[in-house]
This record gives sequence, structure tokens and C-alpha cells, in this order.
Amino acid sequence: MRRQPLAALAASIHDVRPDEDFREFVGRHQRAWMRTAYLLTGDAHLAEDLLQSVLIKVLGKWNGVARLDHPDAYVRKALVNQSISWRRRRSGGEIPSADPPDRSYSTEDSSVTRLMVRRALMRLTPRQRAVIVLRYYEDRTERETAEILGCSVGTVKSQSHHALAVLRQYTGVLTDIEEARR
Amino acid sequence: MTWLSDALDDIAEQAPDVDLADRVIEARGRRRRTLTAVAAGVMVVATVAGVMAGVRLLHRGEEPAPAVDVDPPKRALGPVVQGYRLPCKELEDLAEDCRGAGWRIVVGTDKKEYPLEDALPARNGPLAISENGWTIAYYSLKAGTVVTRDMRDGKVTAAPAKIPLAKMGSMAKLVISDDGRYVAFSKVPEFKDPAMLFDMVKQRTRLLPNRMAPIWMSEGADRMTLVSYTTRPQLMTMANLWGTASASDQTEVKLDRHYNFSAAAADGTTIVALETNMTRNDECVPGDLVHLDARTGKVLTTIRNPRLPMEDHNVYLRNWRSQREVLALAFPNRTCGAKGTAMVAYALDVHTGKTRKLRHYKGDQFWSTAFPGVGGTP
Repeated sequence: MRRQPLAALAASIHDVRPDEDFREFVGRHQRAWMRTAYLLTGDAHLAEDLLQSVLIKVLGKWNGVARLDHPDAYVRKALVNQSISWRRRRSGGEIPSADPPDRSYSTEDSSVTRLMVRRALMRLTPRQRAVIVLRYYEDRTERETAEILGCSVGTVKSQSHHALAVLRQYTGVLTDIEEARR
Repeated sequence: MTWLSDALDDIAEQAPDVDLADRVIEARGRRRRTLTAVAAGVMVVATVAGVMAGVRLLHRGEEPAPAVDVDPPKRALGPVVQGYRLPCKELEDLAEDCRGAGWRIVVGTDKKEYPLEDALPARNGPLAISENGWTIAYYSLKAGTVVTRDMRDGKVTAAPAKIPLAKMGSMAKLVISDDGRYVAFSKVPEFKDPAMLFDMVKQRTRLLPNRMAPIWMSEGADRMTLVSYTTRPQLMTMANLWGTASASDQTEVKLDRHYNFSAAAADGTTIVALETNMTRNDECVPGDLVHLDARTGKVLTTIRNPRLPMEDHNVYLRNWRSQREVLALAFPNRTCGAKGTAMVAYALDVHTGKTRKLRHYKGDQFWSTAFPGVGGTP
């Protein structure tokens, strides 16, 4: 039986180990990433596409990413920013005009509420949507949100203000969360 | 936690459960392996050509089409009446998203079933059946591209251009001409590689615009009608596909509403579509049925509140059964209270909005069923 040359063996081990690390890393975090991606895109298939495309890029530079203190944060940042650039490019990403709901719903009616919020989210710009997801789903501070999006805290505040106004308009039941958080 | 946080958390719970690690590693591996001269050449030329002219000839070969050894047995089996993937609940040891569920074809009047082992399973594994049922098209794992299978003799023919598995996207669609000779391939997301139209007899390939799904093909596949299935869909008509296309051979119009389209009628320009009920206050109330002109995007007729079983079903329109009727497939929508998993086929009168129930079929999702003829898009 021919022996595998030592160099080739070393190379194959070198290839396999990072893949295992990557697999473990993805397995640990992908559920959380997918939830964020789903909120950012509003669509299961697009969420999958979005996360997959981000992870392909991450795998391409895995050696560097794995050495970061918080590789998870790196992926999350890439995910948010990729979603913004995707939705900019894809003109079909928004729900077209429709009348706002003509009545308010009680907060106890969670399925209706979910439907309303989901639809209202689709009316936000990609950046507004990212701000809402980061601030009110991931519970990040304005400063953290600004760092992830690569913008100023002031921009986060104004984006958040406008986004909440849209959500308020189309759900009819939103309390002034912005104020409550201050 | 605030009210909004609760609502977002609730929505996030609906995110799909998928394992992406292996798919990403596989995609990286495939990408490396496909740096061959032929594949790279085709894709580079394809991309450039797509930008330059929309459609151009890629390859014209007179050599015989390559034979591919695939399942099921290479003998006459009869016309295919349906293709479907088993509903998840009938399968064991599968990932939660049913990615391992393979295609089965239902053949002949006795409805005998055959597993299509070589066909790419999962949501991005498309299957198309010609109008007469005698030819099917699918992505062959062995061939690494789209193949057609002639049900008269079992002959399998591979497309002239390879399609790396990693480029199949998340949702792929095949459309096959009535005579089984031409197959159009498209998928989402588009990445940088093109959608393609294959002439399986002369082994020619034409590029098609990315992110557009064909819903009609003329005899000889010289003209096509395509749509994009987004919330602001585009309608496109193309002509002179096998000649030197010019700008006047193409029309393109953008719509401001989200529709579920049928296939185009025999004239290639008349389309019926259901306004997507997602844009309404109540997702479970039927959307209006409209007649559209594919060249201008104008709504020619609107039938309000068509009598479809939409209140607890998702309804998708397919090919035209006659000048009056299109096939409508209704899948139970549990969100709207539907029970059971049976899919029901209806004949929808496009002038009145009334339906006739035809029969039940196997399959519980749009993406896991295939029927003869060119379908519409969700």
C-alpha cells in the first residue's frame, strides 16, 4: 500500500481542522443568526440565502475570523450590513402600497399583533429595519447599534425615531417605546 | 421587555431551522473544483454576454448529446402525471426542513410511482414535466447539470453547460417546452451566474436574464414570457431568442403589486394572476383575480373576490386548461386554520372566478410538487 506523503497528509489535516472549527462555530450560533436574518428580510428563503452568503464569505477568511475575540459579533455585523446592501440592490424588497389597518388590536392578540408588526417592518427602509432589529430584538444600546451599522449614534436615533413612527402608523397600537427607553 | 420586543421575538420564532455549515463548506469545495476551463469559460462568457445583450449564443455543437447513466430504469414507463416529494411527516431521519426528501414521479394511468434517485432533492432541486407528460427535466447529481428524460425509452440527455451544485441557489425552477426539447433554468438568488435556456437536441445554450422565471415558451422556444417573483414583480417578453436579439425584441415592465402569476396563455401575453393577499389586512381573504397584458403590465380585467378556497389555503395558478380555465392548486394554510395536508386541484374560470374541484394530489407544498405543462410563479 502506498503511503501518503507527509506533506500531503499535513495539508489535508490543515484543511479538515478549520472546517471542523467552522462547523462547530456555525452550529453554536446559527439559530440566533437565522432569527435575526429572518427579521431583517421578512422571508424564510431570503433569510437562508442571506446567512448562507455571509457564511461563505466568513469561511473564505476563517483563519483570520477565528482569531478574533468575538467572531460571532463579526458574523452578526456582516449579516446586518449585507442585508442592507442586498435590500438596496433588490428593488422588489418592499411591500407595496396598501391601506393601513383601520382598527387597533389588543396586545393580547399575539398572532394578529405579529402579523401587523411583520407587515409594518416591510415598510421600513433596510437601515431602519436593521436599527429596529438591533435595538428592540437584540436589545443593543444606541452606541452598539451605531458600531454595528458603522454610523453615528445620532443617525441611529433619527433612524429609530422614523422607524417607530412608521411602525406606529401601521400597527396603530405602538406605545412610545423610544421615550420609555430613555 | 417591551411590547415591540415581544412581537419581534414572536416573529423570530418562525425563522427556519436549518443547518448551514455543511452547505457552506460544500459550496466552498464546489467553487474550488469548478475552476475548470469549461465551466469557468461558460460562466465568464455568460456573465459578460448577459450584460451586453441579454441573450446570446453560448455554444452550438452538432455532436451527439452525452448519455448519462441515471435512475430509474431506461425503458418505456409511460407519461408522467405528477412529480412530488414526500411530505416531511412521512419521512424519518431527515433534517427538519426536509432537505433529504427526494423526488418521486407518478407514471401512467395506473399511477405507478418511481423514485428519481439521481434528481437533486430539496427545495432547490427542480422538476419539470412536459405538457404531454412524455419528457421530464431535473437537475442530475451525476451529470452535474440539468437533464431531460424521455419516458418513451428512458433516454437521458444532459444539457450542454454544467451548473455547479453550489450555484443552484435556494429555489430553482425549470420550465420545459411542450415537446420536451427546450428547458429553461432559473433560480434565486441569482449570484453572478446566468439563467439559461437549453436546446437539448442541438445542444445549444442561450442566456436568460437573471432572477426571472419563464412562464411561457413558444413552439421552438423562440419567444418567452418571464416574471420575477418579488413583491414588485417584473414582466418581460423576449423574442428572436435563437437569432441576434435586439432591444426591440424585448419588453420589460414593473408592477406595483405582488401577484401569484399563472402561466401565460397561448398568445404569450395574456396572464391571469391573483393579487397576493399578503398586501391585504387579512392574509386569509382571497386576493382579486386580474387579467394582465405581459407587454404593458396593464390590468385588463379585475374579478373581485374570486370563489377560491383561499380562506384556509394558499392558491397557486398554473397552466391553461382551455381558453377559459387555468389549473389552480390549493395547499392547506395552517396559519389560516386549514386542517390536513392534501393538496387539491381546481379548474378556475378566469372570466367568472368560479372554480371546479378536480381531484386531490400528493404533495403538501408548492415547491415539492410538479405537474405537466408550464406553471406560474408564487
